[in-house]
Amino acid sequence: MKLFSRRPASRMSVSRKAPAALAAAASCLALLATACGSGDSVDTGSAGEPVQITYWSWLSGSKEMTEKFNRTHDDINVTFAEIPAGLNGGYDKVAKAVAAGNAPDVVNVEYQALPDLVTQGLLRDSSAELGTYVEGYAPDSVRTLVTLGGKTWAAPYDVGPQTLYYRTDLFEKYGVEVPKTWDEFRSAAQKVKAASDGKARILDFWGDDVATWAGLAQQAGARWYGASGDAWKVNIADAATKKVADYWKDLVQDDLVHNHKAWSPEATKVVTDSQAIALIGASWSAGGIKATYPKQAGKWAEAPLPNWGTPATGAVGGSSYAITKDSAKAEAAAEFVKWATTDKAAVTARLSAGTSSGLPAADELRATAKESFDASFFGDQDVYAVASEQVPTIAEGWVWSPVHNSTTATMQAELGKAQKTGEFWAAFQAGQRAAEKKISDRGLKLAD
Amino acid sequence: MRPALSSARPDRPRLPVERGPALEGASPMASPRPGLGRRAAPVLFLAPFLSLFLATLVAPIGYAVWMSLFREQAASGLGFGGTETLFVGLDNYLRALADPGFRRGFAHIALYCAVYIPVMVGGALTLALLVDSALARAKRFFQLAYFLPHAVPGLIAAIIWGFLYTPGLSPVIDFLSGFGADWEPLGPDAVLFSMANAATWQWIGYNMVIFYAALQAVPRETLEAAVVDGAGQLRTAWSVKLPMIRSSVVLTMLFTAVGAIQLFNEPEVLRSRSSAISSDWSPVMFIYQAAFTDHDYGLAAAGSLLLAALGAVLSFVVTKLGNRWKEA
Repeated sequence: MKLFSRRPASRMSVSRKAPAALAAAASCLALLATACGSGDSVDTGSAGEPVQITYWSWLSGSKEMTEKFNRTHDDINVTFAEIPAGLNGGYDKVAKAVAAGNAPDVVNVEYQALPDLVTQGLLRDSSAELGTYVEGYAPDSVRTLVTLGGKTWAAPYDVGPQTLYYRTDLFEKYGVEVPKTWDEFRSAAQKVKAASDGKARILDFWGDDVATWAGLAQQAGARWYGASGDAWKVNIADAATKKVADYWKDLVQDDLVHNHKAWSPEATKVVTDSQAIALIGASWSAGGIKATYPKQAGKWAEAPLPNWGTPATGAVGGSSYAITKDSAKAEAAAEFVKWATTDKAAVTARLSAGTSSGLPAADELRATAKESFDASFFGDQDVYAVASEQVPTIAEGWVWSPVHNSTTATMQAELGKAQKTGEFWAAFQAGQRAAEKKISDRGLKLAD
Repeated sequence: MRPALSSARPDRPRLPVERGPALEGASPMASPRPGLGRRAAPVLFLAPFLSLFLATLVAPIGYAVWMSLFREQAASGLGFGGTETLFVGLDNYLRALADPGFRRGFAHIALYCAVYIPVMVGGALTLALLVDSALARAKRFFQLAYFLPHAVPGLIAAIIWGFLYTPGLSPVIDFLSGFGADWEPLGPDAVLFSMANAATWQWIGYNMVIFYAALQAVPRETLEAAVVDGAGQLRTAWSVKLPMIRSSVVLTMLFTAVGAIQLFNEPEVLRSRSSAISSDWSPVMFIYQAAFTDHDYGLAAAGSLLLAALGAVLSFVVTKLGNRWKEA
């Protein structure tokens, strides 16, 4: 399950095991040290002693960012430990640590996993510490994702409007304009196939990637989950999602797009071989594309995703900072979270460490983020501006549910079966049933 | 043949009936409670095993049994009020048994065993008999060559096979499609066979070595007698060698069957490349998903215990059948 873990993050969790282990060991030692020596420490860090807090994450640049924080703050000292990417075991580690009473104070949580962690009772209701603060900087479409049941559970870090990445050289070669609507996209797809004598397709569609589908459905007006009173609503198999599923069914059945398994070597290969000349991604994909196709430098550009006639965008991925349930130092933790989400120094430290192209949720940080990202791969296009302009168009009212991770597994398996046939709709019907069942299984209330 | 000679075992030293000097010297001191040392000794010798056995096997199983009786439930409708743990008795077992995903997992495994065990054990047996035959040359080389795949860790092997099965990357598929063959090893129809193939590649040499070692224990004079009686190579292999290594074959089948119901590595690795493998394809994958995606530890514990019970039943049946075959 690597759906939402971005490429750099998941790669990091594999290739940097040793430092991660060291960091974990170091943090364990630090935990022991604090446990032994600070029986009298209080939240405010009296007598010049800095308050010690711990922070767990797998996002690239976390270590550099923490170091920067410690260099610039005397009253709070943060110990960082790297954990596996959330769905690859990171969240489970957090759950175990909370149960064992040695949880970190701050963790990163992806938006679509947040309700899951909240219903497990792992996170602290941070309305008091972060409520008004989050209102101050986060766009509404993002604030909805961290406000559950009227309470604020986390502070948003980035936002991932869905965008189109395309090969400028090949679009020109095949005489195609960047499509603005999905109708234009279909015509463009026919043109690319014809102009390349059937060698190339406009897109490699990741038909089994639930995250991509969620964004496309959101753009079309779907709201897969919702709360109604004290009960959950599930609307995965709704008319808007059907419209999207049917659209892509036609494209797949007419052989106008490739359809490969997301993140698979085959998917990488068709792009490397210029058999697919565009990709549906999100703001954060820029870094990954740059790292995956280094030989195509200067030939890529980013554009708004085609729409259904009126500007609307879906959001994919994105992470937040949350304070864990039993943190005894919530105030200090909140200070750190505020700095990490809205301070320029934090963004610079995080982004300069890797290839990440995440778009900060806080508007005024995007200029800083842009400076930290080398966009020569995109012909020095202002990719941050492209992504940033989509944020206000993100369709509002989208929320995730506690059972989305389980439901994703079901839908992914069903979507995979439609790889050749394009019969995607059955997967969403299966997802609807799975989500309803999981909600009941978890003892949650399901709206009629 | 020298059956009489070998059963008499004249070379075996007779056990001394009288006590040795050391024991004799100790006996006066131990005389008030002669049984104590004797009773304490086995406990002492068993202690290292027993303590590990209890701590690493019995205790975790006991904990799993305990966990399987409870279920975490959301305390409120939307679930933002945390969770509470409820005692549900055997409900988790019923839920596991009623889950179509769990049952499908067993069906997958049954099919997998039906394909994999005959091919792998049959293949290993054939290889062992070939290497053991009087005609074979370079026996040591073949022994090593066949065993070599087993030295590759299972996960790595699954990743390598994953590449060999991926269209566009695999030289094998490229080669075959050159002849117009449309072969999809990771497609819904073929993926089970592809997995059995990878497992066979990995285990055939290992089991071949076991069979070959067993064949070395077949008395040469028996084989000579067979030759004298006019049996050819094939006849000797089938009627003399094979019956004499039955116990190794039964043991191998047992290990293979118990290993197969725990299938996890191959499908989990190939899942990232094949759309035909769901996240609950095998029973262990179902359990893994229940525990780590759905946080349903009660269901995961119940599923694990059901799987363990099946393993026990399977061992019993294979051993029973094997014994009957041995006696036949």
